[in-house]
Amino acid sequence: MGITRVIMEKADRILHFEEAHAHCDIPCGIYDPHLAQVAAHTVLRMDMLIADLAKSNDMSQEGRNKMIRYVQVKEQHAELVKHEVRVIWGDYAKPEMATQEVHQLVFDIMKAASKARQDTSIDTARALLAKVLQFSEWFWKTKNVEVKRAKSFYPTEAEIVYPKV
Amino acid sequence: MRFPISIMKVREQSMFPSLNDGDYIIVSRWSKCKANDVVVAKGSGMLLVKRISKTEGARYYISGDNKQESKDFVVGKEEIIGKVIFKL
Repeated sequence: MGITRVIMEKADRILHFEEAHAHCDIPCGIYDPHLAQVAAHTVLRMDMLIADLAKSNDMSQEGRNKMIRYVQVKEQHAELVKHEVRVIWGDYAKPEMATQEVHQLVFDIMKAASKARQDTSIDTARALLAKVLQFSEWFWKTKNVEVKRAKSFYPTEAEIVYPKV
Repeated sequence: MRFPISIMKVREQSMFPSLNDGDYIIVSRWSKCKANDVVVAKGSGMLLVKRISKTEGARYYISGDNKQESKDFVVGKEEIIGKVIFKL
């Protein structure tokens, strides 16, 4: 340790210099909108199951238990969409990526996910999924990765965005 | 009254290799700041030491030299405390 450093540390003990943080936030570099898409598909699927169950008028104990489970999973996955998008937006996105268009898209996803929690409309869930697919396309574009939109193999039969690898 | 020159201690590693955790720096409040200068700015409820990557009017984009550990910030001109002019 140099003499200057020793002197400074002694002075610091007396004068208590202010600290300037070279702040780090452990950005692990592992980001992927796939989980947000899967969660949005799950919300859609839950709304489909809720609609089917409602049509059947099954008010048995078993039926009511199913309904509660569907709603619970829908709630959780709508929140998961918001979480996943927020992490990419907050931790991954650089200031130069944050165009007004993407700000609006993220805002719309937050609102659409909240609406998907509030109601059981399949259209609402589809609208949320559509926004999440747009967000996924934006994400991969920022990494200069080509994407492919294709019909998923999920029971929702809705589209999903894949990076071309 | 604030002195035009302050001594500060660097914490954490996002400015590595330019600055290390525990380094002491001299910060001038009177120097003009431009892109590529290392500055101390207010952000996230603390004082941050970062390099200005670019400026847009009164908006300063600041980031760490250690890209593996750095989080980028945008701060206003009034949040820039001063320019790092010397490392002790």
